Amino acid sequence: MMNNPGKKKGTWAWLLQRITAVLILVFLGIHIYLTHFANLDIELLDWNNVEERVQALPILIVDYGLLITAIFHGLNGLRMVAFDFILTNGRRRAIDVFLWILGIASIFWGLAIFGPFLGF
Amino acid sequence: MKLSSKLKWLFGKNSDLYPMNMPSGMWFWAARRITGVIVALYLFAHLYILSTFWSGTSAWGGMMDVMTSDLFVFLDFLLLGAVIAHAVTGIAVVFFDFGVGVRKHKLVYWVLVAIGVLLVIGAGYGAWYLITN
Repeated sequence: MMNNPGKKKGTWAWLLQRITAVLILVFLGIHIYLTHFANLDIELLDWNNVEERVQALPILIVDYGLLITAIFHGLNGLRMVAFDFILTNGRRRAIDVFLWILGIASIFWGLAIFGPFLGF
Repeated sequence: MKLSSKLKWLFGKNSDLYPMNMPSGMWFWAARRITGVIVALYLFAHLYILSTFWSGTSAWGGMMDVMTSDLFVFLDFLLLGAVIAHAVTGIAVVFFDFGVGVRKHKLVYWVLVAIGVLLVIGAGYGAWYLITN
């Protein structure tokens, strides 16, 4: 029997993993196309090209949306892998705390990355 | 039990771990896990590299000279391959979890794999174009 005194079923983690998966499909498709495939003859990652893209609101929404969904999906996925090997409740809780802190810090880190283009 | 017979018991022709005895879903599951861990770890490398924006235009230009080198274009191709493998097997999971195509799961998987192969070929063309031009 799995050590699970909290009787947590993980429904939200399961559902959000699927929702973020579908969102990432859209966001990442747009992101990779615009940053790598839109024009193979110019350097799409030059400072000025990045600045132009980031300052367009729809693209900024895609990139920030991708940041949040990808961090969640990635860390929740690592949590699934970890929980296949780590079964005791205390250790699982420690992983949860660690991943929440890492995830929130990473999202703030990612939001700040475009600061030079957005004036903060 | 001798080691050799133990290995035979674990990986031999009568074992579930013998490659030809593995259900295809098991391979897709393993591929999804491995690529998932790789891509999740890459996220942090991505954030770290993009943080070069904070050091200004010339630092960014120097970083991009490295990142657009042939080696890194090839590594990007491998990464995109991992993302595509993760995506197509993951789409199947989303379908099955919401009850779509469960009774034809092998067909769903192989159609998605075919789409994934086409995407990898497209990515390979892009990478080849960048390396040769």
